[in-house]
Amino acid sequence: MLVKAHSIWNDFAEVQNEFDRFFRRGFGEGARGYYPPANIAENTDAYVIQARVPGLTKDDVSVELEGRALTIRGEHKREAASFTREERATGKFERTITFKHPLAADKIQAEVKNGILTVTLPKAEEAKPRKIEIVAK
Amino acid sequence: MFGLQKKAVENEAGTQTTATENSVTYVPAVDVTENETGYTIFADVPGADKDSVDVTYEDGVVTLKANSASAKQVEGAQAIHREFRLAGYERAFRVGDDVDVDKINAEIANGVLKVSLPRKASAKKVISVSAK
Repeated sequence: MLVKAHSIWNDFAEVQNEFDRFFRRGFGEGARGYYPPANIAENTDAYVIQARVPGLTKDDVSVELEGRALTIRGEHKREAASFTREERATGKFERTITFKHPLAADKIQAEVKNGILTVTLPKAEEAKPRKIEIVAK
Repeated sequence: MFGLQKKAVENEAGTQTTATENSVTYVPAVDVTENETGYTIFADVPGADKDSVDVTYEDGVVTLKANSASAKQVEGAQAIHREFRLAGYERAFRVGDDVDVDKINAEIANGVLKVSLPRKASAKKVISVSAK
């Protein structure tokens, strides 16, 4: 994870998620692994994760950082009803993403808006690129 | 009562995965529930909001369209890992005669589009039989 991937692998990941949508229905007591699908972007100061969590509000999702590992947990609840078609995800999920740079744990921000969870993880000061002055003697 | 209505254009767009971000159209996952008062469609359209959805009814077909491009993350960050796109969604459903098309309504919350299709007020009529 977090090796810069060639774009074709990104496309495979996307296809994989489409398969998951059909085969990983009903998480039961908790799916671990690659749900929810997430995009990760990086700039010099921070990582930005966007995860696809349709239907969830901030009360249904939790985000936890332990060292360099970020864990997203949540649950897709389903009302009892008579379903004539049932394709959307149900049940609990958990996904851990591990970063190669140390993170500024106290500055992490997370928000859920329109079914997209956005987590902004600033890198720790020591992980940011820094220019070294060269002294001539 | 519901059948997936596939249009030629939707097919072309839906299978196109290597094109630029905005030209991809997903077929959203849906749940459909049914009770005495009518049918309800729940479609996963994460990233879409009220201004980017469009629900239309024409010739017995309800079409749901949405776009999530506005949820894209901040500029200036470089994507290093990608598993989904913030793109368009489109799916169409054939609607039965028992639905009151004038009362179809739609709402969106937390990236889920909910379309309610109420049944027509009871179409049941008792016809009296007269004896001669």
